[in-house]
Amino acid sequence: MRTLLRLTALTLLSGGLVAFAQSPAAASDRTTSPLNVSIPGVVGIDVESDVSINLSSYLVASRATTGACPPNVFPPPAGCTGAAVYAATASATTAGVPGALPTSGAVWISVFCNRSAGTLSISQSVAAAWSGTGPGFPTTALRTRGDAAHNGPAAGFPAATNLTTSPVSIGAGSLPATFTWTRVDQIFDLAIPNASTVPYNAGAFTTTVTFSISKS
Amino acid sequence: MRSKLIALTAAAILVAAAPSAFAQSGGGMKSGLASAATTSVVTVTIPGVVGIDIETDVAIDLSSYVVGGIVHANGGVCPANTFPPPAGCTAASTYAATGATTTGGAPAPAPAPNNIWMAVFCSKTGAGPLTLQGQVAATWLTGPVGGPGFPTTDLRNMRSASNNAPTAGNAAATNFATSATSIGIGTLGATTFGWTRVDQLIDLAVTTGSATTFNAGTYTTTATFTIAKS
Repeated sequence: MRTLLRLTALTLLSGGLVAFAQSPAAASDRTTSPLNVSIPGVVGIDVESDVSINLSSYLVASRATTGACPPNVFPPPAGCTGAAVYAATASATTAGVPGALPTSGAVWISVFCNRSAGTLSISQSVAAAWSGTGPGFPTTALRTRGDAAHNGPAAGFPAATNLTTSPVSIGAGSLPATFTWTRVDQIFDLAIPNASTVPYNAGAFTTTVTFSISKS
Repeated sequence: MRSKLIALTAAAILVAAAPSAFAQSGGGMKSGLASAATTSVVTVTIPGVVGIDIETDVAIDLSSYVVGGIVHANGGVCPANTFPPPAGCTAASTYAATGATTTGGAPAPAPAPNNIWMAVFCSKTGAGPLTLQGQVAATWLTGPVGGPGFPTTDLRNMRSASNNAPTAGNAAATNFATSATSIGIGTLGATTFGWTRVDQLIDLAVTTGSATTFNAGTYTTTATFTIAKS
């Protein structure tokens, strides 16, 4: 009689016949319920900066020359040859982004991948047109290169390379098969071809550079 | 009183912090199963500027015009490039430049003899009219006291027949003034243009001709060309 009473109490405490059947003599018991967590294989990319290249910062006296156009001189000297290169003058980064701010003229970029199979690719492209009438040179005069300061995997071009209007791989550097969010900042500049012959139109002109990541 | 002060301070902090807290740049984060893309906006600002570049200095050496043969006094027009001008000749004695020194390495083509290498630039759109002006200093800046016996405004300019496709400048030799005076922009017009050669020919027309004292010496002055767009 005492035994029967004890078993009944256990049944009530442990929630049913299962407990009763497994361990009729135990003071407590446990069992499991499967919890399935599914993690999709995804890639992610996050750009948190916009860039400005203000040639007003480069107004300096110069002389006509048949030599190469000097960097960061506007207008480029009469007769100079080749491209005139202008470093980005500022980059605006979303307040509160983690880690160190990007180098001046660079954009804050992070990439993510938990897909183990396939080939990783990071690409960039630029819109074909500027806003408004345009400055007198193409959007493809913009260039990027990896910023060693915040780009551990060295993803991106090692030397400044012109953007194209269709996506082009910039190289994934040493990124492994899968990785958590990893900074791969890129530095922008402008290299205007045939610089001394360009009829520069005054104004502020914008375009959009698209960075993409894929793994297929 | 104390609690009210604290509350006001907190509100002020919130107001001040609001703009930066919501300032965002870049296209933000995107993710996808196989690919993802996001953007950065690039802004290029071109200042509206005008530019002018002169790479040549000019010499007018009247020694080159000392005529070896006989020159008779005459009451006619003073012959060009004759020094001294014949006694009694009338009107101006004109002398072409005898040399022009252009900066080594100035882009080709070289200016025509005795012309100055000159180029202009404009990136200003939709603004006021373009002007190209010339002027000369009011005095001879170096040389013997008293000057050569004729004013700096006896120097003249006209557009070069070469290296001046827009035909900017005076069509005929025109005396400089001591204040900025338009020399004409030719076909440069109101649109923007990259560096464009607008070479100019410089010469001397001594207006007092045979009546001039011509004080021996070497004298220099400065001609200034200006481009403007308001």
